[in-house]
Amino acid sequence: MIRVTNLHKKFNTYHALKGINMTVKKGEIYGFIGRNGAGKSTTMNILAGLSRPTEGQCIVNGKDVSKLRHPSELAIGYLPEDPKFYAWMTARETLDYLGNSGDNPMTKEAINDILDWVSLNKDADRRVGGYSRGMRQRLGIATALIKDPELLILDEPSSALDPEGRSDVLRLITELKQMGKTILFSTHILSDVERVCDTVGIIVDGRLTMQRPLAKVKREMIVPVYDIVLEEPPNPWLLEALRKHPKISHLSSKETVLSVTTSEPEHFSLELMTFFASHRMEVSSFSRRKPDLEDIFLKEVNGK
Amino acid sequence: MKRDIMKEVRYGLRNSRFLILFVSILFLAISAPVMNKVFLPMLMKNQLPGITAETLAQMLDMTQLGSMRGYMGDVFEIGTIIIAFTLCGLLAQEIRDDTLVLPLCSGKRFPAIVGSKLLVFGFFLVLTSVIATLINYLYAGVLFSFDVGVGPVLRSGLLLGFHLLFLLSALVFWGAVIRKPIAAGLLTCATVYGTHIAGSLLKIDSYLPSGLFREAQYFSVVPASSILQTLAITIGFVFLLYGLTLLRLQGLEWNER
Repeated sequence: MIRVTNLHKKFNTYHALKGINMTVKKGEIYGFIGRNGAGKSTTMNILAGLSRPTEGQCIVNGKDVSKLRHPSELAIGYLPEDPKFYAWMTARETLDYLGNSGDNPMTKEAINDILDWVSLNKDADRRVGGYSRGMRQRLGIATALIKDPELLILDEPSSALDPEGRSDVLRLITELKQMGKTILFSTHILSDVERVCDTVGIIVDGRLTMQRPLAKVKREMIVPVYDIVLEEPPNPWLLEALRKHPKISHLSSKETVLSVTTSEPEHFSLELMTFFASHRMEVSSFSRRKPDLEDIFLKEVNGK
Repeated sequence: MKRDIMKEVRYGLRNSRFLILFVSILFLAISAPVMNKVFLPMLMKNQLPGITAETLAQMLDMTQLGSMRGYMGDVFEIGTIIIAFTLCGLLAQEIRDDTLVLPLCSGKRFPAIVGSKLLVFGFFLVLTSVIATLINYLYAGVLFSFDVGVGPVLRSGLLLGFHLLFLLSALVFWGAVIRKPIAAGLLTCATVYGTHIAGSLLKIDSYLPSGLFREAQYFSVVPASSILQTLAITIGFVFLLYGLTLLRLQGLEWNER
């Protein structure tokens, strides 16, 4: 649905995007993670046809965004980070106004259905100016859906919301996934990505440093770490023996504290305890921790 | 286009734009004869004690026509500023606030977005001009005497309205170029006053929208032979500014922070 190749964007002297390459497949939810100012919104703006790339190619829904005459040619649903509505219009009027342009005008029933789906039917005749941020975000999702697009680009849909608002938005995204929609959504809330995404892309200073299926990230990168505190500092030959252990992928040590990472966690704690017991090393503490997406994100952000 | 027009009507009503403009222009229509009949003579008598009624009548054009010309002058001098700053956000604010992003993504086109603004507010300004000019005519007639026929008054109201349509198209154009409401208002005032000054100094009024205003001020029974040409040129300017506005909007990038 989306194919980005060597995307660059410059604002005068500021180089915002430095060669982004990414692919969003049909039916997947792609979580686009990055710090504020990393280039998420700039990328999404370009993908929505609102801004032009300085260099590179973006194919969205089979169309090259550089050759668009109008953003609506992409036939996607787009929710900006802070959707701006006419404060003096009601939600119903907003959907009626936005839904009745071009082909397939929206019927009153369709507007009611969509308002119902985003739980705004009760407030549909109130002016949008009096809405909370969460309500505006739900109305934003409703406006992105008015043409029933296959592809949705949602820029930080759950950020700046209270826990209830976030939960509402994530519920809507999950339901959209069940409807078979393809969704590219950006966020800096990593637990949201873990809840709903199939693929994760991490953008750091205008570069996509990682792009993998979430399951693969969990399998390969979110591996357990064993923290062991020994009674006495280990001998060098003992550390060497540990390093050579076939199941240990990484070992670090500082005096009596060892951190061991494994790529094969099955029965590993037992094997590790047996190893220390067979070498007559007393263990004063043994714990297993599992890094989360945040650890990986911080590693990507700080490590590159 | 129907929904775009409805949107502009709602904007005008709910943000009191129609009310502000109508009341302001109506105020100028009513105040001009009152000033001419009551305040100016009182002021002159205070400033020049002993002045005779005859001299006063010679100094001030205390007639229905004089009052109507005074009203036209007020609309040009004060009305231009009121209209420019009441409607300065019509397009500039939308660009500045990014409220056009969602309409664009949902398939709204610039010709309809800008065209509906010009249609709704243009129609409103033409209608308000005709109504206010008629009210001014009736009120000045009651205070003085009816010495002008209603035909020239209606024509003058219409010509004034078309001049205000030119003002509106300049406002939308500058809004798209500058993207700052107050600056757009100031540049529009400069454009309107500038064409008026240029028209007077270079004697090219009949080739500029200011020619409409000048003709409207005469309330002549038989209009100048060049008036249709001036009207056509003004409408041409409106279309030119509309086209330039669309060109400018097509070249903009949206939702940038």
